[in-house]
Amino acid sequence: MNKLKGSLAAKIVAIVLLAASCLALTGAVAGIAWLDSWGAYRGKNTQEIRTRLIDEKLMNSSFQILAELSGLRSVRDVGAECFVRFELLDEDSRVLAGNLNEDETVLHSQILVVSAVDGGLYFNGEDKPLTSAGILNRVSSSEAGQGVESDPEEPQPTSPPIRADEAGAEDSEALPPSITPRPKLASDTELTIPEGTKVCYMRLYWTSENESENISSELWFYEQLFPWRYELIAAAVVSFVLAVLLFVFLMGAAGHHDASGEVKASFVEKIPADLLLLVCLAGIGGCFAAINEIFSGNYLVTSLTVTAFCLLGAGLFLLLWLMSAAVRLKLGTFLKSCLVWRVLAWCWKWIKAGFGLLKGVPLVAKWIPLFLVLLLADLILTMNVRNHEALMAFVKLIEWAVLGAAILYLVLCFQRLRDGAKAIAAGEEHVVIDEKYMLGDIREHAEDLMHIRNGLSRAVDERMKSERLRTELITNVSHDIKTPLTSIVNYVDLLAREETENEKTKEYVEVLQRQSARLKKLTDDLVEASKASTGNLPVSMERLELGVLLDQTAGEYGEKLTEKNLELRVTKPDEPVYVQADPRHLWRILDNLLNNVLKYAQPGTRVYLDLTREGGGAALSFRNISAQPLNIRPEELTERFVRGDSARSTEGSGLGLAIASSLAKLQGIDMALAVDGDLFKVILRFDAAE
Amino acid sequence: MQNILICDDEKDIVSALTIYLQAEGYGTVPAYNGREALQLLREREIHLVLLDVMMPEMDGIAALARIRQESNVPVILLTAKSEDTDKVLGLNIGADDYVTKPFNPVELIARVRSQLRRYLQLGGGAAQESTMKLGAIELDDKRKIVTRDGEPVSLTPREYDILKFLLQHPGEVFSPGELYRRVWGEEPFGAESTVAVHIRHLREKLEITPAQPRYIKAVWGQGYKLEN
Repeated sequence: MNKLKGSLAAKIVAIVLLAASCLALTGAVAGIAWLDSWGAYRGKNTQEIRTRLIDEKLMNSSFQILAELSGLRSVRDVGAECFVRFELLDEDSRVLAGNLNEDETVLHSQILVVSAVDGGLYFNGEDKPLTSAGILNRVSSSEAGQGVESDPEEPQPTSPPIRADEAGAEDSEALPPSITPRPKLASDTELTIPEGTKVCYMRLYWTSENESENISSELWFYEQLFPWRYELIAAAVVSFVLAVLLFVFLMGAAGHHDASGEVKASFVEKIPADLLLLVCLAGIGGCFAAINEIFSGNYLVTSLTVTAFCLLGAGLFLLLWLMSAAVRLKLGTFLKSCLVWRVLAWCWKWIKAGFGLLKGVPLVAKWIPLFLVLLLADLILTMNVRNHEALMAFVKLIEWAVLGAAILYLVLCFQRLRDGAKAIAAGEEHVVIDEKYMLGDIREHAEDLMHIRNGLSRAVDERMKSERLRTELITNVSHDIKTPLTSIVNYVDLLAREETENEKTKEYVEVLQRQSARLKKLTDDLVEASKASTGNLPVSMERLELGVLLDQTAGEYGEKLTEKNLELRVTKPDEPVYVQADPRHLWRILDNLLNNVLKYAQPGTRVYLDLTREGGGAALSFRNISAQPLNIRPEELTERFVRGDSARSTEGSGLGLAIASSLAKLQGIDMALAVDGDLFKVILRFDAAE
Repeated sequence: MQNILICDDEKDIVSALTIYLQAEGYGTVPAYNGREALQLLREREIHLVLLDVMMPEMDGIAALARIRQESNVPVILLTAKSEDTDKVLGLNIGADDYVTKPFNPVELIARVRSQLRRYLQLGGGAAQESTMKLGAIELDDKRKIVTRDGEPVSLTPREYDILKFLLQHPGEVFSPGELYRRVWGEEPFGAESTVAVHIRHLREKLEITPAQPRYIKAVWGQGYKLEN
């Protein structure tokens, strides 16, 4: 197929065939249309058509017929190469006068009734005898006026109306077989009628020179064509299909120059498409102009071939352009190869470059000149139209409409920008500022805002991810630590059970026991701290009574505190204080705080635990005296692994306060730390329980 | 002699546990993964299984599921995971108890003893009318004796009263004030924290690990309840 497409010969053959099939199609369609206009497809036979054809011909050419009559001479080409003759007949059908030639064949005849009085011929009771010119006038007026078929209900014996008989064949039969000799009549002579003749008829004839010659070329054509009327349809269909197939083939083959199947541009494609179109249209126009010339010049038959060639030329021009367009479409260069497109693209480039120049210019420098120009334009306009009030009003109206639209546009853009910025400020993740219809600086601003949002959400995402990863890492590592730690704890314990006299061994084992226990606590705390700080813990809020919690706490820690020589003072309101919190997490906070008290409080001091109502909520405060000076800012105390300086060597992981504050945050409890000299204070503030 | 199957991929832990359990007079059978444990469980007479959760080849949870298809031998899970969901999963699949690593040997032995006693004495002593029972805890009101896993526990009269009251209302939460009113029969007038102290003492006597009580639970901010 590619080989066929690439072959030049195949293309030429296809073009020739296409031309032929187009001609055939045109001919066939014209023939069908023509035949149909004569009713060939509605079952009319040739005889009927013949009759009708003649009638029409004659009716259409009545003026020419009458012109013939007026001169009483024969003229060729009265529509269908026929002659007009007339005869005057008396009552007994005797020919009185006429110019019918013997060697002519009568195609059609018509009888007119005239009256003959006193040897003169009168028409319709007029007193002036008829001349041949008079007959002409009569026939003409009767045709133009009453019509050929007059009303038969009003017969006028002296001047009967003109009767026209359309059935030419019948009249022909009614004619005497041969009428000879016929006196010739001179033009505009008075017709003389024999004495005593009352009525005479005038018979008009349309004759042709001999029988073998046809009345009209059309009829001849029709008779030739009629038997082929169905074949003609078939031919039209076949030529149409063929033309379409060939056209499709040519379009497909356009641009293929060899068997490789590649589409290549030829020299034709170097010409801009629209230029080529112009050339082709010029060619087509020339062809049609030639055809027009030919037809107006009346060289009908001789020029048919020339016409065909002209049409073919036009078709070839069209085909050339279409094939070239097909190649360009295949290559995707159609638009680019248009001269108009190139010019437009060039203009657009420069316009864009102009805007590009404006890009760096500050907003004020850009807009102030614009406003100045507007002002100037307004001034000039006002000066020029100030004397025409209506015009002035109109100009102002237009001006304000344009200005108003511009302002509205700016306001709408600003609204969008502001909404977007607000949403971004509120931390919404999926803000989208619609940049549609935004131009220039406004669009740039919108894009910048979107970049800010993207940067923000990326940063937040990364932060979340790293937090989660860290929690996972800590959890996994502590799980891994736990297994060897189990062995250590167990074997240290086994060591401790071994009987030994060596005091030092006992001491060392004790250290091992203490430190392994601390390590154990540290790993547990580490997991919890990382989970609490990243909020990776389930929280189930419940309504609970802080007074009860304080009692429970006092019960748990009272004795331990006493052991450390610390006195616990609990104060709380008489009525119950309800808050919303996760009981286990809240307990963990109190647990950690009291453990800290146990570890770091100065022995022999008092520890205060106060519950007070605060607003609608409640406040729980811990106060104790630190054994070591607190040379540290309270905020730092809640950071992980931070402890009072000298507390480093003592037990504890340093995570207690960090865990407590993270857990407080999770539950929405405000935890505040305060250091006042050696007084260490923690206040937990709860919102009111609904 | 009661045989205990110790299954952990960490050989040091297995041998440490072997030393502890043999010192208590139990026979031990070591296994180093779930598959081996299942095999040994079929071949030998085993009274209790200590099963590590994280092991190669077949992990503890899978092994436990297989064990439960064949036998109802007590299983104590040893786990480094201390998350609640893991514990719940283990208990749901059929573990009788769990110990989180790093565990205290004394605690572990106490749990082993508790499980063994229950397993071997199952249905032994029919509960009398005057005895109240919850899990391993039994209170004989006639003889005024409280036992945990059959071992007598000595309680003060007040502790005994509190335990008895809670045993009569298992699962119910009582605030310290309410408990005081019901047990002492007086208005507390600020003596609520005494209740908390008594409860803590009770826990220390009845629970294997008082810090993670199985029976006497604190509902923080609301009160206490006795629950299995």
